Amino acid sequence: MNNDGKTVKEMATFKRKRPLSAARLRSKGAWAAVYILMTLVVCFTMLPLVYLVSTAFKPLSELFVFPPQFFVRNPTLKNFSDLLLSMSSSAVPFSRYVFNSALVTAATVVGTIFVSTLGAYGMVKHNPPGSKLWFQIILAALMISPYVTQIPRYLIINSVGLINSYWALIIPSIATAYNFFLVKQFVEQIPNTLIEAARIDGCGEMRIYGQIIMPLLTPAWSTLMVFSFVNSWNDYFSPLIYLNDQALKTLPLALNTISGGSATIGRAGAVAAATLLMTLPTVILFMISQKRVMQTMVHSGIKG
Amino acid sequence: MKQIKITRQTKDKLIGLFYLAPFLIGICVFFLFPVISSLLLSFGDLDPSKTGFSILLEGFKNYKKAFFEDVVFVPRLLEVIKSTLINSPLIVIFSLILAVMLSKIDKGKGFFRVAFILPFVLGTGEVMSQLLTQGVDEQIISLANSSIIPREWLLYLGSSIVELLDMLFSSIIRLLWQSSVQIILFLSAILGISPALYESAKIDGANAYEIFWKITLPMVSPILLLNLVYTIIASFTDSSNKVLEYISEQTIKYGMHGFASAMGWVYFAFVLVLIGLVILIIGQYVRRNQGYGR
Repeated sequence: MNNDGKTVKEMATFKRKRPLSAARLRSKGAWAAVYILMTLVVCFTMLPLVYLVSTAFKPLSELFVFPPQFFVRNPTLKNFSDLLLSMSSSAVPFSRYVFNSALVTAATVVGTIFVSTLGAYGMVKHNPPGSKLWFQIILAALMISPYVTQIPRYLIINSVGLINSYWALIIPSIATAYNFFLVKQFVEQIPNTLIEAARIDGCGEMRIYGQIIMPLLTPAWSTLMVFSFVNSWNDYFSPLIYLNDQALKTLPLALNTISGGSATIGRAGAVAAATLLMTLPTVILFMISQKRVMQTMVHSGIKG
Repeated sequence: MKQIKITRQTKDKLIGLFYLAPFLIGICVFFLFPVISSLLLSFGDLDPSKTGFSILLEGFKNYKKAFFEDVVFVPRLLEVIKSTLINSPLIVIFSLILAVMLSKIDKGKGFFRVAFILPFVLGTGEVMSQLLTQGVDEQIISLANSSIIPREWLLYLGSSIVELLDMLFSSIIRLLWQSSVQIILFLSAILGISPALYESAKIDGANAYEIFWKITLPMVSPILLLNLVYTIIASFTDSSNKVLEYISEQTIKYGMHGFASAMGWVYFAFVLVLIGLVILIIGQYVRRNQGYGR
């Protein structure tokens, strides 16, 4: 590191603008290399989305070409109108499926954020009796595949009488081990002195949780929000086994109904269009929340 | 005076338990109880003479069947373990490198972040798996290969090198599709490191390489452990996983609940051992770095 005046000046300006990012990569060549590499990687990750979008606009003649074409040649909106047509002809309107999915997803996300953050905070900062054992159990829950517990789980939900209700989709996915594990990692980084200081200043327990812990955990629960939204929104298996009533079914199941099983070739375009429409909310949610997800914990701690 | 202190501590612990209670109830009802019943089930089978859930115990019959009679289970198990051992470290290293790069750029960072999470948003959906079963991923991979490096350029390198490149490309794409969550977690951890640490390191004359090994890596080590565990578990519980496919096939198609549970438990034992080793080894590294720079 050279100590000439220019570098110091540079560092000073960087510090004012953006202390973390720039100062480390000083030469322009390194910057260019990073951007080129990232763009290459992005090309790879964007492939499925590009394929999805282009398939949704393909006319029937292009959908079944072999070898398959990546980009659409003659874009058409016919797939979307097909989708509307097949939807209006079915007994349950499409909006009902959207409502079901939205309700179940929203309840799951809110529930899991509340239960996981409260639990992780209680475990790490209050150290209740047996918390080591409980954590071991939660770790074990992370590792056991849901397939192993599928049958007993179904029987429990059945015996409680939750079959064929929204609750069967919401309640089992609220206490998810991975969510707890994620939040706990973040709670451990909160300094104890912050909580003690609040307590000395006469802050009540619920206020510590609501006004100190939750704001500090913003990156954690924003991440959690995206994760559980995606999982719940896309979940196909649980509605399939827990729901019988057509009016309660969620979007992934409805999609399957449109495609009419694997045999109906004529509706492949409508399925591609519906797939595109279904992935839009998750993409939009992530675009909105990505700033908060990335928000730094330490910064918010210092700003208070 | 002393007594007051004790009651205060006890009260504190009780509050903690109260906070933890909703989660614990959920875990007990939807995890602990099903797990215990499935363990019992693996030593027997559902009693066919009674309706509902009653288990007929039959000893180690199911386990013997899984290891000695069934010809599918053990080879599939070994295959899944092998691919997990190779892929998981690669995914974590890959996502750490990408997260470090992402944390440094400024222009267009929003675009790049969204681009990296997209495979996760799309990939977990039933929709995407429907596309995957139609072989779309292979189409995309083959399209990507030939459009990035034209075949004609490769021909004079010899067929073995072409094959190697093909394999490399397709595995890079597959790994990338699986590493979006890890990238995001690493990124939020890296951005959480206090800028003061970097500044003081720079004043002390550290270069970028030293800063990575001495500051970034130790500071993100808890997330490194989290990511490694997550990657291993994601690979073991992936629904396209060969062993799970076989297990659910046995349950759903043939109704052999006891046998399927036994295989599930053998599988779980392997996962447990592997995760235990990872937590033991990486956990030591994390603990050594605890309190570092705080």
